[in-house]
Amino acid sequence: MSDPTMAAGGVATEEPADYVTGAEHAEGTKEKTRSLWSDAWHDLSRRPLFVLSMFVIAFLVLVAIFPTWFADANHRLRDLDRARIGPNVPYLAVCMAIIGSAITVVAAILATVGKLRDGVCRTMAPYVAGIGGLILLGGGLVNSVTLYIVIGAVVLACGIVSGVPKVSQMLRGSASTWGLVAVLAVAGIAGLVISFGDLSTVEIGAAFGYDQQGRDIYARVVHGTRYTLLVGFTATLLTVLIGSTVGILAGYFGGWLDNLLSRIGEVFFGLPFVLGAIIILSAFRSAGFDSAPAIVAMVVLSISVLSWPVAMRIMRSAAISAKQQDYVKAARALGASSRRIIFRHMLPNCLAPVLVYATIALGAFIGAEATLSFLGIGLRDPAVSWGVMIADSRNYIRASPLLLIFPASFLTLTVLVFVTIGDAVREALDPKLR
Amino acid sequence: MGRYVIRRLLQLIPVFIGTTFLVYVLVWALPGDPFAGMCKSVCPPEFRQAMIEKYNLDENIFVQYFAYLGNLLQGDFGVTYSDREVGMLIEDAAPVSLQLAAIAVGFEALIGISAGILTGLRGRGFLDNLVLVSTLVLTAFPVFVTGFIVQLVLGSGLGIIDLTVSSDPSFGELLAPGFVLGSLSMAYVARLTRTSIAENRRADFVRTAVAKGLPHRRVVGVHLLRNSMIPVITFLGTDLGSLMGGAIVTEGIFGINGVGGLVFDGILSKEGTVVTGVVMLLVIIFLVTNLLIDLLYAVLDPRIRYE
Repeated sequence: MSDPTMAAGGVATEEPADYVTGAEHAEGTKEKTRSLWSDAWHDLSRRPLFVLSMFVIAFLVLVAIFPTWFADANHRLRDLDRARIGPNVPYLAVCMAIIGSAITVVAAILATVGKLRDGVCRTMAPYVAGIGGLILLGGGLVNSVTLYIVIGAVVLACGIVSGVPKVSQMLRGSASTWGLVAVLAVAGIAGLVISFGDLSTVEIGAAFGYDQQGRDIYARVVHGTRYTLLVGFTATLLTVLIGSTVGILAGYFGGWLDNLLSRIGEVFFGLPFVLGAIIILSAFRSAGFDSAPAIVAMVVLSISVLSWPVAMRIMRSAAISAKQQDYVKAARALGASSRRIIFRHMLPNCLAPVLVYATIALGAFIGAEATLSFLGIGLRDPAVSWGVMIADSRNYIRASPLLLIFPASFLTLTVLVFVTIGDAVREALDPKLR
Repeated sequence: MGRYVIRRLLQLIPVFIGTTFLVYVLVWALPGDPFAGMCKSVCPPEFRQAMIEKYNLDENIFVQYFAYLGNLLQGDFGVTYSDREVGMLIEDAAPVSLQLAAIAVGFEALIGISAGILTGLRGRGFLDNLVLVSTLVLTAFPVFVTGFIVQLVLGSGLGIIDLTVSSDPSFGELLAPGFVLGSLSMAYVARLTRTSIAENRRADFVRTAVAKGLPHRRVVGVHLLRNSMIPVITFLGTDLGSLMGGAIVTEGIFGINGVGGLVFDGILSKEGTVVTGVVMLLVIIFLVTNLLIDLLYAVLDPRIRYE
């Protein structure tokens, strides 16, 4: 797992945000003072991969909250007659074509907006076009529909051409950009029209097929999103809460408290992660928790209990370096209480490295949940997650690898999106890498 | 140096006792009958009594723990319910796990470091982006997914490897599992090497070496690489220790009878002595490797002095 201590050092020494010098007052507010946070946000909102990942996460959260909007089949309905029936390929192809075309239309709109007003829209358009093209192409390839393949290839080519810096520089400001936009728009709309036309010719439902117990895999993937994300978010929240509370206390007060808390942290840090989680989960499993919230809580708890020392170490080192800063000394000289110093002065300045850790950890925890579920001690029915689905499929992977591939690719995609965000946040917040 | 080592060793003791006690409590003291699965229906009372006496179960948990620790320090790992020496079980399983972890670390070093050096020296560009993106993708694959993909592609697809290894696996058989085990850390090693080299490239000693008129190869090979490798080597060292116990998933997928499988079976069948024994051993390995790595720092980097 990525060791966040690398990202820790040196971030906390930035200037506090709500602090304006006399000179800046005199100049007036023409140049707004930018804090570390607004600076980072400014940087992040210009990164196409970050913005794209945020959109994917927003979509995943939407799926997690309202799964029935996306899958109306019952994900619990077992029917052994349809066990391990393969995916409904024609329907899958049409669906992919519709999604790909819609994304292509979005890319065309983005490119138009980007052409008129310089900004993140223009840098994002090639990526979006590329994704739309890939999905279209994939839809064409699974069912060998030549029309989809052609449209997908055209869109993908547009994305690549506009994405390569040298080529797009040549194209900028000339009529050829509008040409690209027009090609994208035409391809997208044509794709939509054709694929919606095809929709009436195919049998609808079970795009991903059925699993070994005859449950709809697509519906299960959609409904599994909720628990997968729930575990990831709550485990991260809990880890950061415990870790940063303990860390800031240890860093601020130092002395015997620091020694004691650090030793306690080391006790938990010394346990190998997977092993420790297995022991904790199997120990409490015999205590008999069977409802879905209880199972989720157990998994979250065991992940956080084993990970908080990492957050603590990061927070502690940030707090130690912040403690020696002038603004803390000044606050203390003015007679501020420890509580006020910690909450008002140190916390805002120590948060950056922990936040970096949190964003990276989120992806890692989603993977950890899947690993635990895969081992048969994480989530289980009635809580369905992608890890549970992969675990269920493990005995059938030779006969029907698709049982594995659908949940695994969604899992990997989600982790990838979170890790990408973590990476971008680290680069934006860590001045050393700039 | 000597005083530093002694101080560190003394600090290890409370951490070791804390961690192992935690494990001991979790394995033994939680609700549930430890002998539940051992008899066909209900265990006869005399059998229960014998078992309780054997494992000191009627004492309080502290007495139990320290009695166990006392035995452990004399090299006695205890016996399982079926009267097999836990020490023997570990002895049988450890070599394979060690081999697997060593292969994984070998892959990490080989691929990770070369990718890192390549991108660290070149700086920003296509290759750099390619390595960065592929490390991101690699970290996004949970180990078991990587394992299944390797199994599917190399095993049932191309037929290069068997789906599971034999009971006494050879070096060649362990290559694919070792790759899977090391894949995650490989990405990390690549990034660590890259950052380290990129940072040191602007360091004073490199500038001096260039100014002295040393040939490029010597500047990179001796001055730059040797200094940049310090964090990488320390990471690889700690990884060797943690991979030994962290191979549960990989061992499970490829059917390797190593330490991970041993402890996982132990947990499932509620063999307390096996679980505590293996975990104690792993914690010791973890703590000692961390200490060794700290000391290694001083050897590799003369600027660091422990006094």
